[in-house]
Amino acid sequence: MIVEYLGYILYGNLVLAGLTYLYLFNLRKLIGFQLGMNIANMAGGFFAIVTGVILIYQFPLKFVMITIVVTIVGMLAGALFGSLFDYQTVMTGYTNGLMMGIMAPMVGAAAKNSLVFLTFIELIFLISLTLLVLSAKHS
Amino acid sequence: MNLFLIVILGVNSFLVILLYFIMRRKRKLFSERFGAVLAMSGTGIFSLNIGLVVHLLVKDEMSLLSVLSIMIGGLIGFLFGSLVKFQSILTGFTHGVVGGIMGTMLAAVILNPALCNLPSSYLLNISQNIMIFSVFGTILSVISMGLLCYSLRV
Repeated sequence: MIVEYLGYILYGNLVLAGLTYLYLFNLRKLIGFQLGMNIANMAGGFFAIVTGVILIYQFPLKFVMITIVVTIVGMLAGALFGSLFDYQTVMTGYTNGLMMGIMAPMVGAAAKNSLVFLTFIELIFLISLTLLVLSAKHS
Repeated sequence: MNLFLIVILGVNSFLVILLYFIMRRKRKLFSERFGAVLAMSGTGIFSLNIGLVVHLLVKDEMSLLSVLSIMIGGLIGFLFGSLVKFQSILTGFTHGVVGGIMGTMLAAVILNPALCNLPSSYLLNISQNIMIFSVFGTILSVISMGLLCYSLRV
């Protein structure tokens, strides 16, 4: 039942992460490296985990391929958010995206297409983006 | 299959030792912050990979092997953390233990796909999945090591 809407959810997440990236891009001179490290950790990790859960719900027969794709997506998302600041935040975001990306398809496959779990993960992603914008605004 | 996994394990151990000696020779150049980042990113991927390969190599005795891979992860974290300042041992040890646990979990899911409710068609090509995951982990650790060595000249 929820399989029909998974593509829209993935697209919405991508658009939201892109908007957050553009918002942070304007503020990047005002943010110190401590906050930058935490931003790279949080954005890469949660984007990887929500992408992994959605993709394994959509294609349950391709676990190996999905793990590789989600790991690369997490690495790229963490490195992209980290590259707003300097090289060491790139390394931080890269590592955390990799870890979360390897873990995410296992969690999604164990959840057996549950709608409640997807809603929960989606809520966590939205809350993390909100916290990220708020913390950048008040820094 | 066993020979392949032993070669992968040897490559990973060699990478850890090589990275440790490269970083040890240049440890006067680091800031404290780079020490923490090194302990975090180097330890995580290497301990994940070593835990995965050790668990795939010896398929029985799950609990003993998980203890072993967690200890290997903690040891790698201790080594990389003690390069610059003793504060970064905390970071390195945490990420090493987390990486060891995660590698054990990934290996258990690969060997027994019914743990994660994966469809039973995975039971047919377990050995292919073992090869794909170990090669992919080795590629990831080579990429991480390249990025860490490149960061010395940025």
